[in-house]
Amino acid sequence: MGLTVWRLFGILLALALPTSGLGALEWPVSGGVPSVPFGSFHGGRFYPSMTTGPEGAQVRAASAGEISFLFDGDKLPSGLPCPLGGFLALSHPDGMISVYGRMERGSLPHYLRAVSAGDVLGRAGTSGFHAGRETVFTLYDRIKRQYLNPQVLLPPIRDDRAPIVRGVYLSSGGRFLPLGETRTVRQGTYEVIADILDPLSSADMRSRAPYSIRLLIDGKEVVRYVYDAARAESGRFRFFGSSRLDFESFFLEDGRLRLGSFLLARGRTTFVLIVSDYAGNDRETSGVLQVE
Amino acid sequence: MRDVDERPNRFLYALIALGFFLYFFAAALPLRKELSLHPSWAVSASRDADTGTASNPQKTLSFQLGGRVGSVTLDGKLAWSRGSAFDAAVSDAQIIPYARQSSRLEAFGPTGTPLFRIQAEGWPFFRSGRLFLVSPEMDRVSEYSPEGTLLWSYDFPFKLTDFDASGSLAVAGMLDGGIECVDSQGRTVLSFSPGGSRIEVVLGVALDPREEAIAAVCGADRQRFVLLVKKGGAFKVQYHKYLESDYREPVTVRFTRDGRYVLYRQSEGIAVYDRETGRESTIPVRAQGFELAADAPRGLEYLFARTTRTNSVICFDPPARVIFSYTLPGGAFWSRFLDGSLFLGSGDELGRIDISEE
Repeated sequence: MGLTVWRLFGILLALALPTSGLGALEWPVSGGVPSVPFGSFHGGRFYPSMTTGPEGAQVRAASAGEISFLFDGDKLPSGLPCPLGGFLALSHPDGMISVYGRMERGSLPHYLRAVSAGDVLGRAGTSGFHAGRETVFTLYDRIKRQYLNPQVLLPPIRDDRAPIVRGVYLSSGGRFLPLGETRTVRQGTYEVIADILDPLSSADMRSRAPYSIRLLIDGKEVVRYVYDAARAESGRFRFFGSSRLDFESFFLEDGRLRLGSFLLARGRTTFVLIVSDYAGNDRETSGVLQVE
Repeated sequence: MRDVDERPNRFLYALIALGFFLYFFAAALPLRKELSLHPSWAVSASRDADTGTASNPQKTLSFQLGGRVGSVTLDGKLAWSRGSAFDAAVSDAQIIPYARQSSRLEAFGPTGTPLFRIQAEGWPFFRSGRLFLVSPEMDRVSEYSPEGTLLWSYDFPFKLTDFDASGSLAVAGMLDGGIECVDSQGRTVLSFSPGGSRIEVVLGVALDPREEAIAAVCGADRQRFVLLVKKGGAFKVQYHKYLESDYREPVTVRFTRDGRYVLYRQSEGIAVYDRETGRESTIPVRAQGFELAADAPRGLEYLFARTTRTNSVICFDPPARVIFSYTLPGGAFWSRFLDGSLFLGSGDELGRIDISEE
């Protein structure tokens, strides 16, 4: 029952976001597959964009809009380095902005102003910080001043594999106790750490952020993180729309996720971790602990 | 009858005499002496150099010219010169060459002495002698101490379109039309959206070196020049003007060192806004980007302007009276003004031109 309600919530959210401004989006590259999805731990920090191949692909407008800013180089005229490389921003109705970065130098349309969905904006290429030739796609709600997860609004891609939970750990005093291998712990406060990835197929083991994470302790939902939106406030990235976590408190240095600290009282404690991807594949991992 | 006729003539003579007096004595402006340019030296920067001759960093000027970085002494000796893998951040105290994709940066002194290393992803740059690092996503800036210690990091609400800094403040313009100002501890001082246009975007932003004002060119349909001035500890809009331009690309904005004039790119030239008189003038030079240097003793400013085809040095008497201009071929360009001398780099040559009044 809980899962059904949760799935319904996700569908409603996905429907609500487009009506808030953009309408249906088109993939900025045909046959696009996100190599670094929104919410990933990338370059040591939270990633508010989506990197997508194929390399060197033509990049197209995800929706109708107007070019508000375009830059074709690695250093702005004012001298500010531009590790985003060649990029352009489209201003969409109702305050949405889409940004297309790491574009091939010389491929950007300096002559364009208004564009329709699907219009060619340039070619993904070698510019900016990364040597790869994939484009960086970012979606932003100017009214709410927050990043949106593009995959919530883009047509779904084929995904026949559920997320993988490589491990769940209880952390206390610098020790990591693997749930499943640990049977008994002392009463106290423990941080729950999860090691999660979301492959698209059996051949794909790149680390990807899932769509949502839920943690239930003794049947009660104590964590619900939805990778829907993120925003920076007072100089700190906070995400996701529903939980407003500081990203610094969410990622460990190795990219594992800190789901929160919980007081475990004496007795039998059941943990259930449910991780969902965009295609609706779920992975449920559970464990039982005796707290003494 | 004769007496009556002479009265107006005397009055006229007196008026003319007064006019002469006022023109030549009371309100006379001294003629500016003519500036004379004397080439002092030229040196090729294309060879590697590691002479160690300039042990005192204050006696060298750091340069970046095309794919080379290094330093040159004021009398024209190449103190250090090497190729940079991709690009470099350069100040007179530090030189940081960097690769396109690197998570480790190494800083050198002006004569090539290794100073420190930074483990972080992004590209470094200097503003007002302060070392910053902008993240690969263009949404985070970190400041490092002269010893390479991380001082603060600041996640901006959206991707940056421009950034400027002075002694203790830093200001950024963003793709969503927002402007944020941060203090030297990485705390928000100002979060402001100028608005007033159909499309919100900041095309260029600058901070008054005295930290009393922020200027920006922002928006599209219609584009605006906006000036915020600090009043009672907070920045407030003091002046704004709709522009004829419709840029959808970066627009350089700069304050003169004394903070009185704001220069920004326009289609007919570089606009100069005088904060004291509220008047605007234009220096008729086309530039995609430019930097300023002050010749304070002479009350002059130097404008180093870049286009894809040419680089120019324009000496002007503010607000916009051009004293002389000097055009160099496009491409690699380096420029400094120090103690009455111009130091220029073009192609692979560095040179010094002394300027005197005669």
